[in-house]
Amino acid sequence: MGIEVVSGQKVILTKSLDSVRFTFKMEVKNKFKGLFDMDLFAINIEKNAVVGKENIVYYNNVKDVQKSILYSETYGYELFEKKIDLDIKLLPDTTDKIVIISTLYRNLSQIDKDKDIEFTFSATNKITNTMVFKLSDKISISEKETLVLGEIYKYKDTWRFNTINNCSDKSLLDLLNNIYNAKIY
Amino acid sequence: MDKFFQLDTDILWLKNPDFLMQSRIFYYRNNFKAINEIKILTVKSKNLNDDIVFDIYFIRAEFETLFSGYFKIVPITSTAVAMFEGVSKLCTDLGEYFYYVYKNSEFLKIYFATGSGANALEHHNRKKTKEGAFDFKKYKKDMYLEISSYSQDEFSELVLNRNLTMKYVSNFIKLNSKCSEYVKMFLINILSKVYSKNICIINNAYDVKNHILVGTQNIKINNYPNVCVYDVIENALKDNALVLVKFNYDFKTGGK
Repeated sequence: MGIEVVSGQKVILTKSLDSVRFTFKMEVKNKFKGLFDMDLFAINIEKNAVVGKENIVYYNNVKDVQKSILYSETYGYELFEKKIDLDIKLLPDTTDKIVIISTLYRNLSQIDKDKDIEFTFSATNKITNTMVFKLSDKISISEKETLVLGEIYKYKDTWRFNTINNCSDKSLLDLLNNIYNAKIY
Repeated sequence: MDKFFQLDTDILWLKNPDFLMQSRIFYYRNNFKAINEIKILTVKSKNLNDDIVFDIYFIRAEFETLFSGYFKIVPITSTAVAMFEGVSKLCTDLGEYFYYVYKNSEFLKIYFATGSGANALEHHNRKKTKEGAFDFKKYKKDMYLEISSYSQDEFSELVLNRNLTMKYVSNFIKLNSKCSEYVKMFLINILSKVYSKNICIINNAYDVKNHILVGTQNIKINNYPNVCVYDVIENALKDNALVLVKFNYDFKTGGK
C-alpha cells in the first residue's frame, strides 16, 4: 500500500531516470449516471511555458505525440475510473512538468446540488506493480469547475509528484493561462 | 421568403407573424411556460400548385450558452421534404435559418429563380440521381467494414460513453473558441435526441476514416468534404444506421 498524501505533499516517484512507467488513476462513485462526470486531463507543459494541444491528453485525445502519456476510462455501475499511463522515458526533452487536472461536468437541473462526491487519485508503479501514493477526498458537485490534482516534474535526478488537490471555479483554460501562464498552440 | 410563402398561425395572439423571430424565443418561453413543444406557424407556398407546406414548432429547451429554446421545421408535403433535404431542421433564428437554407438547398435556389415548384423538384431529383451523387449505402458499407476491422476491445476504446453526449457538447463549447452558427445548429441537432440512436461520438484512439469531423467553424464528412453533413445523418436516421462523430478541440478561449 502506498502512502496517503495531502495537499502540498511531495512524493518521489522514481530515484533513477531509467525506464519507469506509472499509472495515475482517478476513481469516482458513479452516483448520478450520465448527469455528473469528472474528466481527467494530463497536460504536458514545456519549458518555455507552452502547451501543444496534441499534448493535452484526455478522453478525446487519448495519446500525446510521443505516446508517453496514454488515457483510458471505464464506466462501471458503482464507480467510473479514468487512467493516465505515463512512460517517463518517452517524454520529450522539452517537458517541464505534467499537470494533472480534473474538470467537473454536471447537469444541475436534474441532480441534487448539495451533494458531495468522493474520489480517490492514486499512482502505481507499473514495473513493480506497487502503489506509490493515494489521495482520498470529496468535492462539492455544484460549486467548482476544476480540480488540480497535482504536477509531475523532474528535480535533479528524480521524478516527483507534487500533490495540489485544489478546487477552483476557474475553467481549465483559465487555470492554464492564469496559474501556469501557459499558452496553447 | 415573404414573396413566395405565406404564414398562418392557430395562435390567436400571434399577430402578423414573420420570419424574423430571434428575440421571440424569449417571448415564446414566457408565454408557453408549461408547454414543451407547440406548433406556432404553418408556412404555405403562395402558389398553391407548388404544394410546399411546412410547420414551424417552438421547442422549450435550454442548454448552457447554446440555446434557450429553438424552432423545429416539419415538412408536410413531399415537395417541402425535398426543399429541406440536406439541411438542418432545427434552428434558433428563423431569419438566419432561411438564408442558410437558401444557401444550401438547390431546391430553394431554383424555386426562387424560376418561381416554379415543379422545376425545382425536377432539378432536385435529377441532381440526386445523377452519376457521382453521394451514395449513403456505399458510405455506410465502407464505415461498417472499417468498424469491423477493429476488435471489440479496440472499438470500446474508440467509442465514448453514449450517455454523456451532453457533457461532450458542453466541454466542446467551454474549451474552444466561439462556434459558428452553422456548428451551433449541428450541436443542437446532436442534443435534440432525434439522432441520439444514430450518433456515436469517438475519440482519436484509432485512425478512423469514415466519420463526421466537428470543428468550431465547420463540420465535414471526413472522406467526402463536399457532402452535406445532414445528407449523412438523415440517411442514417432513415436507415437506422450509426454515424461516427469526432470533435476537433482547438483549446482557444472565448468559447462562452
